[in-house]
Order: sequence, then C-alpha cells, then structure tokens
Amino acid sequence: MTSFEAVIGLEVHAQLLTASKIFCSCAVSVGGEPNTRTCPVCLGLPGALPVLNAEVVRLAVRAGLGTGCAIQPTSVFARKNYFYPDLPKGYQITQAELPICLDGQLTLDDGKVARIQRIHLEEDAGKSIHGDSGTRVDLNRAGTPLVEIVGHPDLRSADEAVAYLRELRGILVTLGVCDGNMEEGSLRCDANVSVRPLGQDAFGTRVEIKNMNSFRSVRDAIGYEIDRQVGLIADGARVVQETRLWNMDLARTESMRSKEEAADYRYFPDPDLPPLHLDPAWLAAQRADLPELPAARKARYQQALALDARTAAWLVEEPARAVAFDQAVAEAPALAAPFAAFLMTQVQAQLQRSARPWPELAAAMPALLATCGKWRGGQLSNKMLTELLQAAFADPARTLADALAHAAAQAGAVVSDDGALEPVLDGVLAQFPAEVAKYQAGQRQLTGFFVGQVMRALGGKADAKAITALLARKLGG
Amino acid sequence: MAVRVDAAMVRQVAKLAKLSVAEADLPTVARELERVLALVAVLDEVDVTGVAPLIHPHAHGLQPRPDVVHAGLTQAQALANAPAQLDGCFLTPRVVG
Amino acid sequence: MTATARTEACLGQIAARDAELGAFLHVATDAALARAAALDAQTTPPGPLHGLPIAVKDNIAVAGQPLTAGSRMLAGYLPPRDATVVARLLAAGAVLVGKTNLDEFGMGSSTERSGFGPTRNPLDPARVPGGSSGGSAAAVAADMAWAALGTDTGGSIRQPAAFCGLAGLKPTYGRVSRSGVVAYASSLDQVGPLARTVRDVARVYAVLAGADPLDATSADVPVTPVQWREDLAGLRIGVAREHLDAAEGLDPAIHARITAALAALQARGATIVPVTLPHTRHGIAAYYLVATAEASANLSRYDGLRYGQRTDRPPTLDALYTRSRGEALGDEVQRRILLGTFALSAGFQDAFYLKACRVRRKIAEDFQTAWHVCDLLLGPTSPVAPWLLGEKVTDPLAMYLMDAFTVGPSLAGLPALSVPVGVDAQRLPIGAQLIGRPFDEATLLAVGDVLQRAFATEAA
Repeated sequence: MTSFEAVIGLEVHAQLLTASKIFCSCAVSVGGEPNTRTCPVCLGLPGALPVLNAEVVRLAVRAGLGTGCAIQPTSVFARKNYFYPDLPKGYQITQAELPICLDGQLTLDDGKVARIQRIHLEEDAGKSIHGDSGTRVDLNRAGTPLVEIVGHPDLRSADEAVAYLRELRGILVTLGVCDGNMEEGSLRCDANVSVRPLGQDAFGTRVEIKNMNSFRSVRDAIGYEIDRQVGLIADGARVVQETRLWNMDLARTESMRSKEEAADYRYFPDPDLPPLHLDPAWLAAQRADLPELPAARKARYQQALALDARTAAWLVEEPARAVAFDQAVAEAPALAAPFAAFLMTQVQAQLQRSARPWPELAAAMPALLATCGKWRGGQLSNKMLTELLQAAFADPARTLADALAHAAAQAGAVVSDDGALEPVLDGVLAQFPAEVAKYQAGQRQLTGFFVGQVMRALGGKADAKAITALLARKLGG
Repeated sequence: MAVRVDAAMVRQVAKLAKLSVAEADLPTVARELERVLALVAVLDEVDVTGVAPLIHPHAHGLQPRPDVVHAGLTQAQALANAPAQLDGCFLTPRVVG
Repeated sequence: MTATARTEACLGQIAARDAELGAFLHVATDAALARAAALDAQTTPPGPLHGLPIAVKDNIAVAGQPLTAGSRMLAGYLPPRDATVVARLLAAGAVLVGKTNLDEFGMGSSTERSGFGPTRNPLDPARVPGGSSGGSAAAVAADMAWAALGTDTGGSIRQPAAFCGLAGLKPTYGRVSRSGVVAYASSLDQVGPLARTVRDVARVYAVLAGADPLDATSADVPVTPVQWREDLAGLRIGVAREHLDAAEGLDPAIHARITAALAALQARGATIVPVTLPHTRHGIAAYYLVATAEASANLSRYDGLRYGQRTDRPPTLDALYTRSRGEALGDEVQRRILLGTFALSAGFQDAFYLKACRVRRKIAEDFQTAWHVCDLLLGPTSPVAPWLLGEKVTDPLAMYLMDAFTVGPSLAGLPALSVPVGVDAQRLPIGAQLIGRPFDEATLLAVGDVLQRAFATEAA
C-alpha cells in the first residue's frame, strides 16, 4: 500500500495590539453594544477616506523582524473587491503585490525550518449575526488592524503545524504585536492541506480549512483532514479543491457551500493611500529594539540556567510566563532549574484545575519562588506543599500572591516558641543599646520597634504576642 | 486590444459589480461595451515597454497618523441613514450559507 | 454690504430663476439667513470670505444638509460631518446657500445626467451649462451665489466654467482635501472654486488649499500667495499643437479666441513657445479606463445596506444588492461601473487598467518635457461651445470626446484654470485653459488674472 505524506501551509491572521483602528481613530476593543465604535471611515460613508495608523506599521515591522523577514522599503495598499454585508466599502484594504514583509522563516524545536512567504497588513471586516429575522451587521470590528502571515507549504504533519503555530504565537506575543488569544479570535489560523504519495514532488489538490480556534482544533482538524484525503484516494476517489470548516463538536471538517465559480477580487492599488515608504534609520532603530525572542530565550534557559529542553520549551511557550520567571529568578539563579520544574509540574497541575489566569500567576511569581525555596529547603514537606498550593489556588477571595501568603500562614509555619525567638531577640537588643536604655527608662512605646525588628529578622513569620511577652520578661515590664 | 464582448461576459461583469442587466438587454450592453473598448484600443499605439503604471499622481508617500483614539459616531448616528435595523445592527435579508 | 443683504440677494435670484435653471438640489434658506445674521452680529475680526454666499456642489458633504451626489441612490441621505473644504469655508466666514446639481457622481459633461433633472445654462437656457459641476457654474452665472465649489475629475470644473463664462480652477492633485467629497475616481478628483473672476477664484482657493490629516493623498506642500502682475515679461507660455493647430474637431471660433488670448499675453511681455504633447490623443482612453476602474470600486459602497436606497422587500441578499443598485443608479453610472469592473477583471486588467496607467505616465511625462521650455501652457478648455440640451445625451461616446483637453492635466495631477476669453458669434462664452506646474497655482492664477483683465479691457 502507498504511503502518503501531508503538505500543510498555514495562513495566520493576528490582530495588532493598537489603541485605534488601522485606517481611522475609532477604538479597537472586543464586545460592547453593536455599532458603538464606528465613524464615517469604518462605516464606509460617502467621502470618508482611510488614514494609516503609524503603530500598525511598527507592529507589522516587528512581526517581520521577529520572523526573519525582509522588511520592504516600499509597500502598497490594494483594494480587494467583493460584496458582503460586513464589508462596508465593498472592498477590503489589504496589501497584494507589494506587502510590507517578505521571505521569513521559523525554526521549530526539532530544528526544522518552515518558511514564511509574506506578511501583509489589512483591515478586518465587521461581524454578521445570522438569525431568523435576517442577518444583523455590527461594524465595531470593521477596520481592526490585522497582519496576515502566510507560510509556505513546508509542514508535513498536524503536530508540525501546531509547533509552527506555537512558535509564531510566541514570537508575536513576545514582541507585543498580538495578544495571541485564539479563543477570542485575535489569533486566527487557516490551513491549506493536501496529501501526496511519498516521494512525489507535485502537490496534491489542496483543501482550505477554516474555523479552528484553538491549538487542539488545529491539530485535530488537520489530522482529520489528512486521514480524510488519504481515505478518499485509497478508495479511488478524488480530493475536491474547496474550503471546509472544522466542526469541533462532531470532530470533522465539513464542506462549505462551494462557490459557483472562482472569485475575481480585481485587486488594484488603492488610490486613496500613497505607497508606504519606510525610513532606513527608523527601520534600524526597530531592529535594535527587539527583545529576546522565544528561540533565544529557550537556548539561554538550557545553557545558562541548565533547564532541560522540555521545561525550557514549556516556559517560553507563554511569553508572559517566561518574563515573570526571568524576573523572579534574577536574584536566585541557582533556584532557576528547580523552580522551573516546580512551575511546570506542581503549579501547572494546580493551574489546570483552577480558574486562575496566567497574568495573575505572573504577579505571584515571587511568592511561588519563595514557596519553592521553602519546599527545597525542607521547611515544607511535599504534603504541606501540595496542601498549601491547593488551598491557595482554591481561594477565590484573594489574589494568588495573597492566597499563597495566607495559606503559608495557615500552614502554621510561624515561629512562636521562646527557644527560637530568644536568640533573635537577643541579637536585636544587642544591636540597639540606646533603644534598650530608653525602653528601660520607661519609653514603653518602643515595644513596637523591637517587635518589628524581630519580625523583620524572621521574615515576618513570627508571633508578635510571643515576642512582646518575651521582651517584657527580658527587660522587665 | 480588440475584444469581442458577448452576453456571457456582460453577465459575469454585471455579477461581479452587483448590477442587474436583464437577459434581453445583454446583447445591447455587450455592443456598447465593445464600442467603448474599440475607442480605448487607441492605447495599443503607445509603446509602454518598461513604463511603470502611474497610480498616484505625486511622489509623496504615506504620512501615517499617531495611534490615538477619537470619539466616533454614536449608535444612533451610525444607524441614522440605515434602510433597516434591528437590535442596534444594520439588517439585511438572511445570508444563506 | 452686509452678509444678510448679500445672502438675501442670492436667495432672491434663486427664487426668481432656479425653477427654470435647476441649479440647486437643496436651498438652505433658513440656515443661510441665520448664518448671515450671525456673521453680521460678529464682533471678532472677519474671515477672508466673510459674509460671501457660496454654493456647494452636492457631492461635497455639509453636515445636516442632504447629500445626493446627483444620484437617486442617496436620496434622503444626511451626512454626519462636514467635508474638510466645507469646514474651511465656514471657518473663513462664508455663507452656504445650498447644494448644486451635478451629473450623477460626477459622471458627465453636461449635467443632463443628474438623477434629479438637468441644469440649464443661465446664458442660454436651451443649452447645457457643462458638467459635471453644471449646477455650481449656473448658480454663479445667474448670481445665485458669489462663488461655488465644484469637483473636477476630468474637466468638471473647467468645462462648466468655460460654458458659463466663469473662471474655474482645478488645483493640483493633493492640494485640496477630498475628505467628505463623494469619490468618483480617487486618483483624479479635486475640489476647486468657480467664480466670476480669477481674483475671486484665488480668494476661495487660498481658503481651501493645504494639507489635511483626514486625506492621505493631500500634499504637505507650502501654499504660496499669488503675486498679482501687470506685465508678463520673462514668462514663457507653451502652446501645444495638439491642443490648438492640430486639434481634432476644434470649433474655429474657439481657435480664433485662443489665438487672440495668446496675442494679448504676448502684448504684455510673455513669450509664446510651441510645444508638443504627443499623447494627447490617448488621454480620453486612458482617462476613461482609470476613472471607471476606480469608480467601480468607489461605488461598491452603495449597496442599499447601511444607507441609501434599498429595493422593496428583497427576498435574498443578492437581490438586495443587484435590485437596489439597478434601480437607484443611472444608466451612465451603471455603464461606467461595468466598464471599470471589466477593466479590472482577471484576464483583462493588464491590457486595460494597467495599460491605461502606463499610458498615464507617458502623458505625465509629456508635460514634464514641456516644463523644460515653458512655465505654463495655454489652450482651449473645450473644443466646442455649449450644446443644446439633449443634443448629445444619446451618444455617450461623443460626449466623452468633449473632454479631450481637460483630461490630460487631470491624469498628470496638474493645476489647470479656465479663464473666460470672450464669446463666439452666438454670444456663447469661450474659455481658455491654463495648465501649470504641480503646486504652482500661484503662477496660474496671476497669469489668468492678466488674461481675464486683458479681455475685460478689450470688451470695454
């Protein structure tokens, strides 16, 4: 029986993190009452003209630099003509022949290089809501800035496609280009999938898959589609060139009503927008302004912090997580590897069971590091650690950082016996003889000062009443 | 370039442009279009080898605007000229498919 | 004279003559009088157009006044904001008397193709006022406004100015903002003034000109004030043989007046230089392909969905589109959309649209070559005098040819001014077209002023 190989290329749309829309000054945001963030430009009123947002250019250039693209000194906006209710002008402004970035690549974890054909800027359409009384159109989203990142058909399996998408997402999020949220649609992925007998050079008939809004959907949909196409060929049938939608509930791709004929979009340069020229000095400054990208960060984790490859990959996958991790371990590099493992195992296990979002976890990174330190230092047993984490993650009234502190306190790890407190207090008294003299002369308000010093010395984990009592006994109350 | 325009071409162009040309009028419109195309065939005289298309009359490039939000229209203003609306949205007959 | 008196005089003329002429689609009587009264009560220093009644072509948005672009598609449409040019007129103290008639979306040369009926020429109501800014020209010629705004895509300010005995300026492409101006062909459209004298045109132009952050094609080139001149010593005026001696179908009476105009300028010290614009004969073809291609996309927004006319109870979305557009857009507009769609379509784009854009560059280069030997060009605005209503309307192709001299500067993005230079045997006005270097409206206006005054002297 013939073996087949899949040929996959991804088209990724990323919503740019700007305040205003691409061609007008309306706010970009999700949700809200319909048609409350529009103006003559994004409604396509007669006489309204597009004016390009500078931040859109900066972010597209960052995306291009982050993916090794050649940034084009001149790019041109074009009109893509078609009628649809959520497309107000009857054309979409996009870039056709001369996009802003060309010829990039991503290196996947296994060292495979997947090429990027182009990155171009375009405006998003509005939203059509289909109902019994008709189709309702909300144009709040119309004019939201997007980059489309078009990959070459270099991917050979669903897993590779997911790896490519993860790598790309990591770069875009690290660069602040896009928030990377697939569920909310700020990162969208379409896949072109075909199969061919192993060893054959020519591509098979390709099918475009849409409507995949998670990494899992991407893996499942592409996997399903490869199987479907191989099955068709094995049965002697033919793959039809078409667009199919991923139906997550039924776990299958389904044919969209096929268009009667190929669309003719009549692309031509938009006369309302002169060519976009990039200043070489500005471009050089953008290049110099790039932060550490996920691949470099991953390499650093392995080389400088001695993390294993899997843990390093897991950390960088979510750039906010990696940034918070870097900040937390900056002061304690020796703890980096165990802390990373701790995050990926114990903390991740809790996280999957809780509703805590990552940004909150990032804010709790110092507290997590402290907890990890105690655990590593033997001050918390495994059982105590698990209980502590469970309690903290399940505490809806507090932020995670506060909940960890609270749980730690509840865990009873406070120092309260005189045997442990006395040497600390003795040290404090020896350090502040003048205050001791004043206290003994009757200035009892200095009690708070001494308690504070002992607390500080014990990292806040001491019993204030016990210290007060011990102080009174030592200096005479 | 002399082009023969037939009814099928007019039908296709009208479809792209979302204009309704009655079947009976297709031949007339085809003839009209053919006449205009015959007029523009004068361009064939011009040798444009190596000549870049002139799209924008002047050489200046785009001057992008700062990324600043300004208040746009209210929902009522946005919908003020709408032939049909429902729930704060523009309303059209149901899109099939 | 107070703003109120001026405004009342114009409104009186409108009341007296506009039923016959059809220059206005909307007369803003109450708003204009209220505005004039406010201006008369104003204590702050007057603006450069203080109290002057101005008419606005109805493809330019005035907030709260209907905007139709001469199309039934937009009947009843109210724009939410002023066009930039309107905001500038208001800031300069102008009184807006109303919105003037035009060929639907600017597509025509006679204002017979308005969706709301034709406009007639005040100098001879049996004749057309030219187009597409025919309503604006008629309004000024009949003293229904002191000046008017027009738009010019391939001659739509200059030709009606010539037909109505007025001065009319199409500024350099990018000189005046298009924001709020209903697009016909975006790379050609410009707003400009029509008035009785070049000096009045210059006064309005000075208010309109300058970069606008709402229009990415508006150019940030300094606007130089006009230095009015008495003699033209040192000035070189080019005459293109293709616009005069070798021009096809040029009315001999017009040829004679242009020759007289050249003599008048020569008498004031200018040197006349023969030049050639070899691609003149390709201008119309290039123009119609570029303009209709752009228009086919620009007019897609008229889909009966967010505004404009919608067909009665469309069963499907496709019926909504095709019936709404089919019912509400005029024949000439539909003809041009079809041509433009064809010119852009797969398999034909290279041979038609892109070919036209390449020829457009050759046409622009012809002018650049001419600038080596002359400072501006002079020729006729129109090859013929104003024709009778209905005379050419059945033959769109014949009408296209009327734009032979005006489309060249449009394609090249150059400023061009039509100046009245007398009348023919039937007392019909004749206009001379002055074409200038990019952004050099100042020279154009100064020379146009000398020319106009030369003929005023001669007439007197």
